[in-house]
Order: sequence, then structure tokens, then C-alpha cells
Amino acid sequence: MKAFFANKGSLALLIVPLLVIFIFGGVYSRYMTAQVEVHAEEERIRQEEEAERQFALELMTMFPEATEIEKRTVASVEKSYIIPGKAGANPEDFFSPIVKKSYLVSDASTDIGVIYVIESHGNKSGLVLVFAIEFATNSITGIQVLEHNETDTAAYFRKLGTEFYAQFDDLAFDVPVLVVDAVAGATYSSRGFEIATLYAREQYAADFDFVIPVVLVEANDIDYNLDPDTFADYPFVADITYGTEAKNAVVYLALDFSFAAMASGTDDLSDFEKLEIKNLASQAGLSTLSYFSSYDAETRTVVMQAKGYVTRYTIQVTFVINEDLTAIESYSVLSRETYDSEYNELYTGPGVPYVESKMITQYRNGESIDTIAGASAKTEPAILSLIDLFDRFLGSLGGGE
Amino acid sequence: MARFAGGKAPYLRIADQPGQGTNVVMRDFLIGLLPVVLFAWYKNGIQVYLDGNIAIMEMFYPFVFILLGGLSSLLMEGLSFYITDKENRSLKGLMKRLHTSFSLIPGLILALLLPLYTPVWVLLFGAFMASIVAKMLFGGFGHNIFNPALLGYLAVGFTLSGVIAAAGGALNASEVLVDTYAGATPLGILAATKQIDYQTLVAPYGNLWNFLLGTIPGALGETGALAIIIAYIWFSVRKVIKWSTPLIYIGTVFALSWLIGIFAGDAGIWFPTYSILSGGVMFGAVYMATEPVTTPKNPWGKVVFALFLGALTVLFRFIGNFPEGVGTSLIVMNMFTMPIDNLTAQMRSAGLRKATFVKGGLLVVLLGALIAYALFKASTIYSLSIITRIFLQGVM
Amino acid sequence: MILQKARGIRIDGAKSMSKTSPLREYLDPKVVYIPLVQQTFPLKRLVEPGESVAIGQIVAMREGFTEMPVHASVSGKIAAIKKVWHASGRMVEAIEIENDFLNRYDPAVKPEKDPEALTPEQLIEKMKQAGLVGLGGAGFPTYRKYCTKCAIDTIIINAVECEPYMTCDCLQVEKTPEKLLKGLRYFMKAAGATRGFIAYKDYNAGIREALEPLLPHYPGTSLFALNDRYPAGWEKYIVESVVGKTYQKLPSEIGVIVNNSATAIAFADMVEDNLPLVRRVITITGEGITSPQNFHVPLGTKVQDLVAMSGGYKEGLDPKNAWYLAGGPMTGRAILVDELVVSDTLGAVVVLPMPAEKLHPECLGCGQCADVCPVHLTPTEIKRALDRKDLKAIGSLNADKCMACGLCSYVCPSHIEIADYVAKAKESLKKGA
Ligand code: SF4
Ligand code: SF4
Repeated sequence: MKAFFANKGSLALLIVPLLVIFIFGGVYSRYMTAQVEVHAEEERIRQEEEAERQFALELMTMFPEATEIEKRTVASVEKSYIIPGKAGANPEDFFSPIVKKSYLVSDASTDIGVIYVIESHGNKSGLVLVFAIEFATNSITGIQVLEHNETDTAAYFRKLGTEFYAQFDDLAFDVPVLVVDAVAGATYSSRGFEIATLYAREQYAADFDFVIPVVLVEANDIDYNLDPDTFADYPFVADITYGTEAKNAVVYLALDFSFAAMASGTDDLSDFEKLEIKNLASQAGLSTLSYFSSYDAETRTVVMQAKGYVTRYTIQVTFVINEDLTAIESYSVLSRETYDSEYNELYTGPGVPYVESKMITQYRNGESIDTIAGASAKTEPAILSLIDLFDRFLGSLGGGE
Repeated sequence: MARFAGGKAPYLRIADQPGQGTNVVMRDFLIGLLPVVLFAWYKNGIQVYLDGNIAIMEMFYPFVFILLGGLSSLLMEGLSFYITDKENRSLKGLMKRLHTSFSLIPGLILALLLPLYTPVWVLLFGAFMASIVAKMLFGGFGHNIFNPALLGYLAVGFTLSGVIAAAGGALNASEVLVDTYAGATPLGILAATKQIDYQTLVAPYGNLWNFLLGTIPGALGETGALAIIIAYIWFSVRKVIKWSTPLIYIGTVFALSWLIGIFAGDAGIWFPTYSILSGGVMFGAVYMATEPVTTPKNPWGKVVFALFLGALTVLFRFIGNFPEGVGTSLIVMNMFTMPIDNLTAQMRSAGLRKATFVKGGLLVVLLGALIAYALFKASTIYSLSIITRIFLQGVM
Repeated sequence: MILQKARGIRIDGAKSMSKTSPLREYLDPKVVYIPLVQQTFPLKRLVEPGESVAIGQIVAMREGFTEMPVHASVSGKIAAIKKVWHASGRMVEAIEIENDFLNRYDPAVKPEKDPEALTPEQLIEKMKQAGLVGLGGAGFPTYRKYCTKCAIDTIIINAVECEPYMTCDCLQVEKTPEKLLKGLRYFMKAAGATRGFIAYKDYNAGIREALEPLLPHYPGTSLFALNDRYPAGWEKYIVESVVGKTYQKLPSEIGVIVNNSATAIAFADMVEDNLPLVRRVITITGEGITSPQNFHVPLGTKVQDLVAMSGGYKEGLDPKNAWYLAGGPMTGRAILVDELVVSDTLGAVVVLPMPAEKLHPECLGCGQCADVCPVHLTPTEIKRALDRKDLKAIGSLNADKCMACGLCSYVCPSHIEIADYVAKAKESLKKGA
């Protein structure tokens, strides 16, 4: 050993450090290379945070006097809505909006509001809206569209103009019924906004000390108005119980179910209660395709209208009831129908008002009413509705079958 | 009667005076490397660490890396002395030989030329190519034709650049993190885009001050123009290098780049400035174009060398696909060192004679042809106005 | 500028060493040796041992183209023919004259009655008969310079003494300015020149102070100060600086003759006293000498005596690690044995301890040798050509222009004996041609 070092000492002195460099340096440089990835990851995170911060600062400008913004977590809210344009028939027709982010905004001294970034569903999914809600007034102070997949053309999404957005300014949550007026041509998008707004309110209520006001209206009965004195003006009549004191009232409704007049009871319904009545009525399954025009008790003549294929003109049917008030004595039809255009070609029967007459004749004869090819889409339901309404009326007169 | 020693005139030698001689030259050279080493450390280590982007272990790496470069070069040269010189195998003998052979320097410079994330074994390979192949196999210090560090660098560059890229590439940790650099060195961008335009070439790195300060991507030491200028001043004051050579070289590159810029429709002074501040022109000018062994020794030769070097650099840089240009042109010029030295030595000693003018004219014609070719090629590449092209074609 | 900057370099003269002590006369050594060689030419001895000689008596002849007598420098008896060390670095035969301390002069040595009346031809003949040679170190017979066919209009006295350590010329000028100017005047007359310059180094204020007041008495003469550069004393350089013209081989081509100041002073003596060249001033100096000084001595004096008179070698001087130089340290020659005798060309003996350790790495390639060469040679290329034995290359590199100033070796950081290589190349060129 000693001899070895005496001879090869300098050789060892040269080779050993070289080996050390090789090994130590190798380890060192491997470490360095490994660190590259680590740093890249670090930087990615840092950049994300930075972007996030920038985003938040951007949002903060929705509150002019805000000085600080801070991310917050939200309570979970389970609420689903029918996807705009869907019937709500099966589970796939429903969706739940998602609160993607939420921030608490404060000025120098206190928290002044909250921001929700909510993903809703308009015509398409992915309609992301930002709501700024002020604590002091419990109202929306600003709204922004962050992302959307709507059809962004003048015919659709762009129809949502200044006027549409203006309705969100100071839109108070503190009302029983929150309505967003839809824009024709962009109804689904409008509905997407409405759903997001409703959901924002739900979330707001879940997160903060806020209760959504409710309207107490119960429908005992909602039906067609068969009273010949009033039915021309008020096609529907509703028997309701309302308010915290459970008052009773009978009210007349217009053809669009909106409140029209009191039939009995005191006229102290609030607008929201009236709205709620309309809401309930529209869900009652009543047809608005036909209605009465007049009734002459002496001649026992009923004039009715029905909305068929042609929208400009209604189909007018005049019934003369027999003296027993049990059946049709005669009738006449005044119609300008062209029957359903898409089936027009298929329609091979005689001219107007063949369909109307045939159906009414079948009704009068107590036969079952046949479907007529070429008029089944519009004319037929209109006449069916008319016949049904007439039948009810006849029943109310005391006879009929 | 006393017997005295023999010797050769002159008996006074500058080298005998305190603070003179080869050792001092070597010391001065090492001191001159210091600004760049420190710069490299600062840029790639200290600053990044202070920014909080890397761990302390990583902070030391650039410095250690450079040191290892020098050290491995030293050891390898020691080994080759050990093998070839059987008489001087003792430690003392080896030390003495190493002492006089400037053995640290190839490795140090090589390390400065490599990117930070170069694996150490690649460095060792480069040091081997530099110290053993380029230096010792040529007969050791003073006999090598090619700049050892440069040969080592090119060997690494041609064979192992993929390895370096795989290990983290040309960027320091700070820059890995900045996406806008996209991993490319400034000249890489030029080679890729062939576009002379401030927005593509300079703007991604901020402004030209960053080029001067060296905060742009690149090898460890090559980007620190300011540090290199400091070293240049030191070298010139200490007479380690001939002060004029780097100036002539850089001046040539500057002038030709400017011309090319003008042809390409951008006469801005930024372009030549950019050109000399990137791709190691500064580093090459101060540390390699002046490397004594492999460049001409007489003053005229140095001038000629620097002029040709500048023309070649421009040629390679703007025309070839070598974004660097400096290294390649240096190696090429290394081959011509001897003829240039010989020719210019003849001219210089002959004085202003006819033969001198003939030879000088020959050199001028050669240089002119080289420049004209470079400009002509550049003109075809960098979308020039047709008039200049026709003019140049006429000249050719 | 960059391309032609080769105007020599400043070298520390180390002159103060020997300059502070006064010029000492030492005219009576016990024995002198008249070397039977001048430059490299052997002389023909005219005396035999046992003969008695007087100062100024002819004892040998230089023959051939540069034919010229050589004289005894002391009176006494020829003791023997002996080998002594000569400034050329070799041992040569010499006539040993034992001094009889009678100071007998040869009859021919007598004051000239009317020196002003001498014709140029007579003056030139005097140069020849007095055996006047260039005392600056060249040793070329002076009269040969004056036998030129070219028209001479300028004489330049070289009092530059650019060799470090040496002070003999300077001191002598300061001591005998009158003689210098007289010598110059006779030279001018001999050549028919109208202008006479005395070139000196600007820092040598002593020369200026000594000469300036006298100049008005010597029409056509003026002083010319040169920068403190080595080799400012080089003939070509002086001529170029003074008259602003350059020449190829000899300054007489452009009507100039250059003489050393010591030569001029000796010439004054010759003209006025008919005293041939028998004495000169020599500097004994160097870090190896206890108290360096200058001596005015007869030619042939043993340097050993002078060293002894200068206090001997410094305490602790190890001769094996020291040089004993005939001449200045830049161009002088290392003499291996300290038995040198004073000869015409020996202006100084410098004893220098060797520098501690000499590293001899390879040539760095720094190019300083090329930078500094006053004739713009590139010594490294010449060396390369020499290594290849490529005579043609050596020729085309103009190695023959080398003036042996030694600057290239002086500046070399690597201790390359580069001047020596150039000298060898020059030699081989001579041989080959
Ligand atoms: S010795 Fe010759 S080659 Fe060297 S510097 Fe002097 S003249 Fe030039
Ligand atoms: S001075 Fe010396 S080291 Fe420099 S080039 Fe000349 S010989 Fe070589």
C-alpha cells in the first residue's frame, strides 16, 4: 500500500479528483436538471395565482368604492332548472347552475358585497355570468358576461342589448317574484340569465342572512268562466285563498290568465299575489284556444271564437241551442282557415269550412269526432277546444249529456 | 579569478522584474476571467436565488461548474504529462509542468461557453477534447493550432447538444420560468426567422440594455457584454492582449451588420448593436480572437486576422445555419493563422515596398470578395430591394 | 500607430549606480595587454617580447581594407605574448606590456601647432594613423566612414548611450564638453559637413548644461534631445530622428555620419596632441559591484584591477549565479572568466546577479517581440522558418535587418531566447548566401 502510494501517488492524485468531479459533478448536475421541472411547476402555479389575482382585481371594479377583494367558499345549494327550450319531461331536461367562484368585497372598513361567478345554461351550456350583489340593498349592482357559447349573431345573443342588461341594475332580490324580461329572438339566452339570477339569489340566501320573500296564494279552483254575463270579458275564473290571513276570493282572469277583476271578495291583492295567481292559472291546464263572444238568452244563440291555423282571423262559430237547452239546434261557421299549410297539399276534402262543419256535426250527432288529415295540427285542436267549451256551457245551462 | 555563468543577451528581461513574466500573464488572464465568472454566477445563480426562484444548492452551481471545468482541464493535462513524460512523474515535476502550461484556462473558458444545465460529464468530455485532443496532442501549450476551449466547445456542440437540451437547455432557472423567451437565444431567433426587425429580435428580451448587461438567454459567460468589457479594459491595461484586435473584430462585425441591416431596409443603429452584443461576439473578441497561441503574433497579422474573422463571422451568422458564427469563424481562422502571420510578417519587415503592396492588395481583394459575398448572400436572404441586389450582382 | 508602432521601449537605465561617483583616472596599471584582435580581425604584431615601447608607439597593424595601426597604451617593456579574455567573449593573444611608470610618449605624440589649419585629408589621415575606431561598441575604423564618396553635410555625435547601466559616455561628455565639441568640429571639417548635432537623451540634463553654453563658439552645432527609449542610440533611429530621413545601409547615403561621443573626444586629442587611441572610459557597474563607477584607463588594463578599485564584488555574490558582462546588459556578452582586459570596444563591465528562477515555458505567442522590434521583424516567424531550416523564408522575413538590439528577448514574458534565434537565422542567411 505504502509502496503503491510512493510510486503512483501523483497518478492517484490526478485520477481520484477526476473521479470525484465525475461523480460529485454528475450528481450535482442531475440534481440541477431535476430542479428545472420543479421550478417550471412552481412557476406555473405562481402564474395561475397571479392570473387569479388579476381576475379578482378586475372584478373588484364592479364595486366602485371597493378596496379589497378576497376569495370565499360558498354554501352548497341544490336547485335545478329546466334547460331553456326543453319540456322538462325527463331528467336530462334539467340542470343545476354552478357557482364557479365567489369573492367577498370590502372597502376600507366593512364588507360591502359579494361576487358570484355562475355558470348557467342559455341556448347552450357554458353561459358564465358574474353577479355583483350589494349587502346594503340586497340587490344586484352589476352583471357581466364572462363566457358563453350562445349563437353570437345579431339575430340571437346580440339582441340582448343595453335595455336588457339595464334591468339588472339595482335589481332587488328582496321581492317575492324575480322576473327577467326576455328579449324576443333570444328567449333561451334570456332564460339562461334569469335562471342564473334566480340561482344567484338562492346562493345569496344560503350564504348570507337573507330570506327570499314568498307569496302565499292557494288555488281552490280555477276554471273557465261559463257565466254568460261576464264570460266574454273574463274567460277564466279562479277561487283562491291568499295572504297570511287566508282570505278567500274569486277573481276573473283574462285570456292570458292575468288578473282581470274581482268576482267576489275585497280587492286587496298585491301585485305579486296577482302574478302568483297568473302563475298558478297557467299551470292549471286550461285551454286558451277558444272563448266566448256573446250569448243571447232569448234566441239561445252563442257566438264563439277559436284560434286556428290562420292567426289573423279567428274561426267564429254561432250555435243556436234548442229550446230545451240540451242540444244544438243549428249552427253556422264563419271561417277563413286555409287549414294547416304543411298539410294543405294533403288536404283533399271540400273547401272551408268543411272541417269545422264536419267536426261540429259529428259532435251534434253524438258521434265520435274524426281526425281529418291536413287539418289536424291547428284547426282541429281549435275546434276541439271550442266544442269542449261549448259542451261545458251547455252543461252549465242545465242540459246536455 | 572567478568563473561566471554564461548566458545570452540581453541579460535584462522584463520577465525577471517583479510583477512580470508568464506567471503574471497567466495570473492577469485569470483575473480577467473573473468579471465574467462572477457575472455568470450572478446571473445564473445569485440573482435567481435572491429572487427566490431556486434553492441555495442551485445557487452555487454555476460557480462550481466553472471551477470544475478549470479543474478537470488541469487534471487531464496532468494525466497526459504523467503518461507522456516518464521523467517528471513526481508531484513536483508535474506541478512545474502544469504551472507553465496554462492548463486551467481551456476548461474555464469552455465552462463559460456552455449553458448552465450542461451535465458535468459533457463538461468533462469537452475538457478532454480541449485539453487532450486540441492541446496536448498538438504538442502542448504553444503548439496547438486550434483554440482548445473552442475545439472542446464545438466538439460538444456538434455531438452532444441534444444531451444538453435534454438536461435543461440553454436557459437559466430564471428564464425557464419566463415563457416569452420560448427557449431561444436571440440569434436562434434570427436564424429561424431570417427577419431583421426590432420587434422580433430585441423586443422579446426587453431592450438593448439587457443585451449589454447580459440578462438574455445564452451560455454561462458569453452574454455578459459589460463584464467582458471590464475584462477587456483590464487586459488592455495589463497588456495581456493587444487592445486593438477586439476593437477591429467587433468593428468589422458592426459595420457589416449595419450594411446588411441597411440592405434589409432597417438602417437603425440597433441592429449592428444587437449583432455585436449577441451570440458571443464580445466573448470571442476578448477571450478568443486574442488568444495568443492560435492567432497571429505580429501586429499586422492581428489586424488582418481580426478583419477576416469579422467578415467570416458575419458570413456564417447571417447566411449559414450556425446561429453562433463566432466559434466557427474562429476555428476556420485558426487554420489560417500561420499563413497570415507569415505573410504579414514579411510585409511588415519589408516596409513600404512594392512586394508589400502586392501582398497587401491580395489580402484586400480577398477580404473584399469575402465581404461582397457575405453582403450579396445576405441580400438574397433578407428580402432586399432589387436595386441593391442588381448593384451587388454587377460588382460580383 | 497600431501598424508601425515600434519606437523602442523605456528601460530602467540603472545608471544612477555608476553615475553618482566621479570619473576616476587610472592611467598607470602595472601591466596592460594589447589584444591582437580588433572586432574579429586578427592584427599583425610588430613588436617582440623584450622590446621597450613608449605610449603611442605602434605595436601592431590592422590589415586589409580597414588597415590601421594599433598603439601601446603605457610605456614599458613587452613582457610576453599572452592569451587574455577579450570583449568578444573569446581568449585572444595579447601583447603584455609591463609598465615602467615613466610615462614616456612616442615622439610623434606632440601638440599640433595649428590644428585649425589641417585639411580634411590630413584630418582623415590622422584618424587612420591614430587608430581611431568607433568607441561606442562597433569598433569600426572611423576613417573608413570618412573615406566615402557621398557628399556629407551632417555629422551626428551619438551621446545617447541607451544601454542601461552604462554611463561612461555621458560622464565623459559632462567632464570634457569642450573636447567633444572640438572633436565634432574636426569631424565636420574632415567631412566637409555644415551641420553638427549632438544627440542625447532628454533626461540627461547634465549633457545639456555642459554643452549649451559652449555651442555658440562652434558654429553649425546644435543639441538634439531624444526620448528615453531603448534603442534610441541606434544609429538608424538617431539619423531618422535628427534629419528626418532614413537610409538603407549606411547613413552616408543621405549625407550623414554618426560618431560616438567618446570617439569625438578621442579625436580631439588626436588632432591637437597627436595622441593615438590609447585610452578610453569604462563603466564598472552592476548589482554585483560594491561601488560602481567609471574609469579613464589605458587600453589593455585588466578589468580585475578596476573591479578591485570599485570595492570588488558585492558580498555574497555567487559567480556561478551571476553574469560578468562585457558591454551593457542588452547587447553585451557574458564572459565566463573575469580575466577580461579593456579593449577599444569595451565600454562597460556589468556584473549582474542572475534572477532567482527562470521559467522557460513555451512561447506564449503574445507577439510582444514583434510589437517591440525596431525594424518591424516578427521574430516568432523567423524562428519558425529557422526551425524548418527554410532559408528562403528567413530571407523573405528580412531577418538580416535585425540590429541585435535584444529587445525581443527583453520583452518576452516566457524567457524565450528569441533574439538569439533571430541572430542565428541572420547568421545562417549569411552562410547560405
Ligand atoms: S534583436 Fe533583432 S529581431 Fe529582436 S528586436 Fe532587436 S532587431 Fe528585432
Ligand atoms: S515575446 Fe516571447 S512569448 Fe511572446 S511571442 Fe515573442 S517569443 Fe513568444
